Amino acid sequence: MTERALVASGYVSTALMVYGIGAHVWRPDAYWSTAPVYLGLVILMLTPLARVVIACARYVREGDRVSAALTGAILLMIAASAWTGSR
Amino acid sequence: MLTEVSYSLALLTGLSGILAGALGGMLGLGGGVFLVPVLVQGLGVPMPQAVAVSLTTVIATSNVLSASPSARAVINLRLGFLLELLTVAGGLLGSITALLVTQRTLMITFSVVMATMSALTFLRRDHRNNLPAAIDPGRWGGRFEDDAGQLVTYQVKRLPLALATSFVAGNLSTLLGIGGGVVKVPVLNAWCGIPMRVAAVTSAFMIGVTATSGALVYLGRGLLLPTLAAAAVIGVRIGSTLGLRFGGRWPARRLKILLAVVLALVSILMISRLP
Repeated sequence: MTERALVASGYVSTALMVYGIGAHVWRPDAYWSTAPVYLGLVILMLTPLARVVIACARYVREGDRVSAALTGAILLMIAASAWTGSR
Repeated sequence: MLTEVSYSLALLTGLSGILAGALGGMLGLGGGVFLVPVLVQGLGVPMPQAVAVSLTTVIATSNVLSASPSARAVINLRLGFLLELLTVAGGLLGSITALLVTQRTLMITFSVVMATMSALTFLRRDHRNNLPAAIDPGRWGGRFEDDAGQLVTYQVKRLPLALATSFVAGNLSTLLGIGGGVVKVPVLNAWCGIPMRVAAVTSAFMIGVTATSGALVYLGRGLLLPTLAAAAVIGVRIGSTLGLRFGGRWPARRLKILLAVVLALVSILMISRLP
């Protein structure tokens, strides 16, 4: 179920980008042509993160402390990356 | 820096994305290693913006590769997360230094890395890491079924080398807009006891996370051109789906030779057009 949702997010992000580029050809500056492209890119970037979050939750539930700590640390590092980029 | 994206540039980027995605899908790489030279040398996109576009395509390729059922059966998630921790740390350092390094230095670094990996892949093309099924794979190793349906066991050797390589790969990923798989896969396969197929799909899974950390930085700094990135991502998704379909039928030795040849060509192209 979770894996299907992650696969679906890939298709959704691609569909948004295809729509956005198509709309961009017609009206380059309209918000309804730029917003779908941005949204598609954000969904694309969130998909690998969602995989790590889901894996972390599963390791916690299974009591695998080492793997849970590893995935948690990865998420912290990515948050640090996002913070670095926003400055 | 580019501020406007012409239709012809978007179209050519999309077509380049198809080729990059096909090669990436066949070889278990992100495709950034092919796309960056095309964007910079062929289409005149400045290096930082080409890197930002490439990182988004690496995420797309990773999503396609790691979601395929055949790949999910082989991925070593535990090892992948251990290596990814160092890769993300390297990527974080790379994002800080990226803006301090000149385009010429980046291109020379890229070229040298590609030439080294090409030679390594070619020299170790007949190397195999498959152990008898009865052997204990250890904490970080694993088992999987090969194409013939036989159970293959592998153990991870030289873990510190694998960790150090992951850190370097993460650093290069953010600096050069590649997923880092092109560095990790040859080293994991040649020296760390990991079969080519496991190294490729585990790396394919990891590069999406690595590229995300880098892409967020470029997005935050306003260096990502959304239209160009979207065109490249659409192309890469088409290409990687095709590449995965055809590459899955090829023997590992042939894939290694193809990888070595492509890396050598990329290295030559980059070094021949230094500014």
